[in-house]
Amino acid sequence: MEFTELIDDFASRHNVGDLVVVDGAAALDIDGIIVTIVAKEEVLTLSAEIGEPPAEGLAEFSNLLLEANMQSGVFFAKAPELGPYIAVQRLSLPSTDGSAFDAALESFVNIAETWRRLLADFRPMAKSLSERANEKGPTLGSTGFMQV
Amino acid sequence: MNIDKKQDNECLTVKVEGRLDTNTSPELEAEMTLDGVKEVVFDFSMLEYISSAGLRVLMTVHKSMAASGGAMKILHPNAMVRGVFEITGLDSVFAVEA
Repeated sequence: MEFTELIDDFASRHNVGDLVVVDGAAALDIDGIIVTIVAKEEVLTLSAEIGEPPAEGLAEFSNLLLEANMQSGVFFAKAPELGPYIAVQRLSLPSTDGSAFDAALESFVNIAETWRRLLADFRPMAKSLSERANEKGPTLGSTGFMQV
Repeated sequence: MNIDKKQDNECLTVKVEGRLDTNTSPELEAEMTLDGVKEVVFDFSMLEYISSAGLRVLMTVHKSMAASGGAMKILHPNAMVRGVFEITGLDSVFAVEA
């Protein structure tokens, strides 16, 4: 399938409202995740931003992403310096028909959404342990319960 | 984010300073009135960060310019912004000059 045909077909079947298509590229907003799709030399590149690197525990989170790399065909990249993490998937354009594109895009958005949530909720392990060590347990007289 | 626009005949130069992300991208999109414009030049020398929402705005402007027979160019992106273009493959779509 040609790129424009593939995207038009997807948009018509899924009632996509916020769709930008230019020569060889498209941007779709799917449940708040903006997926960019670029076709070049018979390869489709899907990409979606996961988010900014965490202020603490950057190496730890990057290791988590490295371990998850290529599961379900998705890999993760990080732009230089403090650039965003980006989920990326490559598909062969000639062998991707409408239903294969639907399935790939749905899986890709689910993975991007999962990692976006994991990044938003991320707390580095070292930080979590030290925070736990500093947490004080309840003491008699400060619990709000009356001692009898 | 600061946006500084200058129009010289049919060329609109837009200097974007700061972050182009989910919060600020609608502001840039609203600023992009392209009537009578044949070329849009984004000066990204002071752009610190770009998110996918920012990429979508660039694609929208690129589409408008292509539809009217015009052109869009991006100048002086930093290493991070260039990296985002390369990872997403948009470096093959946009005209980017160091």
